[in-house]
Amino acid sequence: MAAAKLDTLQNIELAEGVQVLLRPAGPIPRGLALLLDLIFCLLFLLGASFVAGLLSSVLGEEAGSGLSRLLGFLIYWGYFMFYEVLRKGQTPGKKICGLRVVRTSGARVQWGNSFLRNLVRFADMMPVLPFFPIMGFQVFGLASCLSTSRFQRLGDLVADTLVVYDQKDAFDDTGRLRNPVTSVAPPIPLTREEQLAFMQFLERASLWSDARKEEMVAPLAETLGVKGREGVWKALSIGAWVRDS
Amino acid sequence: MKKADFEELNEPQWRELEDTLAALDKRQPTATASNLPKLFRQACGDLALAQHRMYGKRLCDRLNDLVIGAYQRLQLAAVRGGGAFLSLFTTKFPQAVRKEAGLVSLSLALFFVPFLAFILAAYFDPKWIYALLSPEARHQMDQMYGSDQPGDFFRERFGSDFSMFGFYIMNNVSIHFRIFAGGVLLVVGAAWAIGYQGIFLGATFGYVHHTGNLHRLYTFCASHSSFELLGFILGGAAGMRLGMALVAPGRLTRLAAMREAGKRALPILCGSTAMLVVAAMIEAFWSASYMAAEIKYAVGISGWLLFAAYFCFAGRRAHAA
Repeated sequence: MAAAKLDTLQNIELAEGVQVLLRPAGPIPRGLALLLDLIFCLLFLLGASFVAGLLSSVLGEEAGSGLSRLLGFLIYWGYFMFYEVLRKGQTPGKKICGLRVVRTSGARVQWGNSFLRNLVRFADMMPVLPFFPIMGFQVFGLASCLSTSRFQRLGDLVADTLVVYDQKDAFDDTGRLRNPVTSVAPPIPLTREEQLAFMQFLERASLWSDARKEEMVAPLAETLGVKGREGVWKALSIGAWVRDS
Repeated sequence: MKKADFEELNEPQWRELEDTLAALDKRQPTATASNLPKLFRQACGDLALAQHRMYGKRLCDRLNDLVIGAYQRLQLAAVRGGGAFLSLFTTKFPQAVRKEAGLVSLSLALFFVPFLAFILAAYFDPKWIYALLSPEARHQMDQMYGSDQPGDFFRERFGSDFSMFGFYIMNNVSIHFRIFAGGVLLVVGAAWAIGYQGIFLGATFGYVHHTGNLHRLYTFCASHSSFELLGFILGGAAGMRLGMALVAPGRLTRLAAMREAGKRALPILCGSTAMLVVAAMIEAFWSASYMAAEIKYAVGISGWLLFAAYFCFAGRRAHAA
């Protein structure tokens, strides 16, 4: 598909010989999810120390402090891992942001993957913030994200995972266009890629402004024989022809 | 075939696959679960056809999601129970350690060379210690292992044992995880962390040699020493494996080398984490108990010998994974 060069969609070929598409998420939504997760993690830590404080009145001061340290350790290192494995790749933050961790094959993450990617998280977030070492400047993670085609941080590379969008692409085919599109045969024979381009233009047309659509068909003015708004309608009609034929 | 005909023809199967997946996600029993492989293969075929015949984004997206959902469901790891856990320790962990013999030796050297060097340096010239240990640290050492402290080290109550267990788990295992993670930063992070542990422990031991109650220090440390030090050292080696994938990927691309390194490092990481958890248990519940020094020394020395034998010989007969 020619479009694969323009967008971030990842073609994954399964053993069954079919190609599926995954949509890797970039640093911005992932950063948001991380921020939310850190807040949840802190809330859990607060809750744990509260529970341990209550129990220490029963078990004694020292056993209570031992318990609070154990719980703190488990939450600090285990929060991401337990959610990712037991909730099919979604920590609460990722769920809110509509993200999911999967293996690069598209399959679900397992304990081994999640253990690796969440330990290496510590390297990804280097250098850590002074006085608040639970969070860092994410220099290495960001650099790695931006230099790999699938937005993988170092932990993802090691664990062979990636973070993908969970919901579908925002699109609406012809439903929201103002006028119904009639199908018109193209003036010249089209290659497969060209047919696909016209069809995708039709499918995504309702996402763009009129000016943008006119700009997009401007290079085709000579072939289509019309330009401006007329050109847009002609291109949409050809898309409909490809779709319906 | 027109798109509408294609959809009409296959809709019942897609619907069945969707319902089956939804039911499995909710853990409801379904009669159609055994059809899943068949439905999945059909959906794969339909997706390929829909993509090839350009049936449009909406249909392709729907089939794409169906195929991914069914694939994820079918690819779930079989639940292997205790078997996988056991085989980690009987074969995979020692095999993985032998495979990384070079990095493990490097990690051993990074720890023991500064460790022994600082003990020796402190023996000949105590100034070395004062350069490293702050007055507060020295005061703390005096309190724990000072010459005026009683000969044996022990805690009074179970509560304080448990409190220390929480502390050792939190402190030592976290250090271990950070050492491992540091390795991915071009080896340097893990190498520095291991070396730092060597330097600091060397200075501490050197200081106690110089001023304190050696007997007290050694009876305390003997029992858990092998678990804890080897655990750190192996964690460092596993981390350095990740970094080496970036520095010297060999004949692989760097990305592929990272993936491979993750697979090779994982058994070592799991095994060494278990070693540190055991070390924390020994350190909390046994090392400080009131017991003859000979027993503690014997336990400590046999720990090192058993680990040497374990890493040299365990899992030799089983086929390498």
